[in-house]
Amino acid sequence: MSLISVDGLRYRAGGRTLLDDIRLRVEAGSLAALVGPNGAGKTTLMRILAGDLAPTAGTVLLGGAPATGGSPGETARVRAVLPQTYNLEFGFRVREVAALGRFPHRRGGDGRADRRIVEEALADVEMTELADRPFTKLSAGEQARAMFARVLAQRTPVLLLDEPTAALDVRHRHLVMGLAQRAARRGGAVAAVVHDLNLAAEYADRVGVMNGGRMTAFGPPEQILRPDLLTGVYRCPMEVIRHPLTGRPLIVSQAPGGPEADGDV
Amino acid sequence: MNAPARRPRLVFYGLLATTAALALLNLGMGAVHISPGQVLGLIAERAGLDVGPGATAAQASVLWSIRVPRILLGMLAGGGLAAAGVGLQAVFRNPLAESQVIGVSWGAAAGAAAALAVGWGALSPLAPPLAGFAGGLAAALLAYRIARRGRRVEAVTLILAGVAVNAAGAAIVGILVNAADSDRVGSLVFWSLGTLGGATWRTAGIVLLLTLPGWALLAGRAGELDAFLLGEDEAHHIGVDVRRVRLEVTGAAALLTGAAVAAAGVIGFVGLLAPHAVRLAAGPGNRKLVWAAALAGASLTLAFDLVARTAAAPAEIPLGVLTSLAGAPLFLWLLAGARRTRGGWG
Repeated sequence: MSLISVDGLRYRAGGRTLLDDIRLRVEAGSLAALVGPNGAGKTTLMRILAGDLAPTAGTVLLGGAPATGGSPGETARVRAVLPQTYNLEFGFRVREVAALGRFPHRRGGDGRADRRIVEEALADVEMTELADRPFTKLSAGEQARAMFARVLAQRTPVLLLDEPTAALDVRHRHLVMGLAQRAARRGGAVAAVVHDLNLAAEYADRVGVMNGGRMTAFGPPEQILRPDLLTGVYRCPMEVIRHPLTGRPLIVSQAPGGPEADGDV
Repeated sequence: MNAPARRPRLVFYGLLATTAALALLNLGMGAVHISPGQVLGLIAERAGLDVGPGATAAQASVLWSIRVPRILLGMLAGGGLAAAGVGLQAVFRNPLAESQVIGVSWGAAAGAAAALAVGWGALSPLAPPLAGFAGGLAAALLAYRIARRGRRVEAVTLILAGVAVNAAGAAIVGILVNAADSDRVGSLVFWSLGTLGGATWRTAGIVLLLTLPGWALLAGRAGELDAFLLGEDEAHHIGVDVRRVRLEVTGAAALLTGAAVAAAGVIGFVGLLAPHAVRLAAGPGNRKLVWAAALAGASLTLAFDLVARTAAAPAEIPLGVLTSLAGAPLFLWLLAGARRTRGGWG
């Protein structure tokens, strides 16, 4: 069953078409990584999936229900969203931020079961030690993990993650992508914008390449992460080699301007 | 380093005790002195108990017809303005948002004064506070519309819009005061500066009638207010009906402010002083903050009113002047803090 189902999506704003003809299916049990150069429309697509923006045309279904226009509470029990940026005005502690993920479940969401779920989420992102710190005093990477704990605590079948690893160190990139993959393995559907192509290669079941507001390619990583396709989309020479241990694709870029700079895709 | 320990329960009961003590002090002090024992004795007498030191008939009359309505009005107005500040700070995601700062107070004053000027006050005692509610709500929504840009509310623009709305509201009040009968001008001017001097059982009762639903609504939305602090989109992501809650909370703040302003004029900055003081001691969680800040607002107003009545006796200093004197430095301190931590609100 497709938990995320997008058909004929177009989004126009300010006289420009930012997304066109987008089709996307993410099945239960699957993690889809969205990759592509800056300005390709990845974040716009995520915001439409999250219901922040209403599509100009097309259908966007999460768990069978439209992404926008439904009851906010019901929608929040279907999908959780990790935004790319966030700022908190007052000094909530990490645990309080994570606990906000329980909000849609029961008014307040501070029953015993809720608290257990919050503690599990904090432990998952290795933030138990920092749970009593004020969120605003954390480093960017710690804030990102605290926000991810909030997303996990929401316990939704669909996870929408916009650059979940951008601020993280290497260990925590793997930790967070591993948790996203685990959520998928437990029957969820995850859509994540990922800039690190090697993380996409390692953790994604499907990779969608976006460019100029369109979904240029979508499929299993081995089929999609090809040097010709990537070199063309990113306008930067790319090589794909095999990881000596895992056999997964390993993407290596070179300085643009070389002989392959004008790719043929 | 973990955050300093929070003791919301201690804060709550401490504020409750402070409010009670200040109420007792306010009831006793003034031109006619009544000792705390006599105050308690007079209250017990009302309950049918004959205990404590006796009091004269004059003391009893001053207590019941002047001082009790006055402290009730003070606690309701202060508690209402403080809770309104909590709500506005959350939905506008702006620690400086407060009834007076964003224009609600003078919008409400203009509404209430207009209702009085056209004689609606004689039709129903509810007319001035409800007109104040309408004026305050219009002011808040106008400031919000101007400050909103995409999905966020620009902090500086909100404050600047409040400056303009306040100026317009104060001008309307000024015109209406000027047009009033010469024997009423003095009391209207004093009202506009903020005073509990006009308190009667009836005004206190009307303010109670409007303040209770305002408090109840804010307390019922405390979880949503927490969610708002994440951001509007994020609040929506975790299931908050952002537009509806924002309108409800702004409406509750306007109702609380309208009721307070119609009865007691513009008492500025209580909605800034009380919530921030409580946040320092009990944390930013709105479930506890709404009630604790209301208590803090009540005791602050009682403390300021004590000074207003006694510092220059027999003359009275306008209460709003004193709260502004204390609130303005806090406003500047918050502004400086924002500059320090993130280079201002450009």
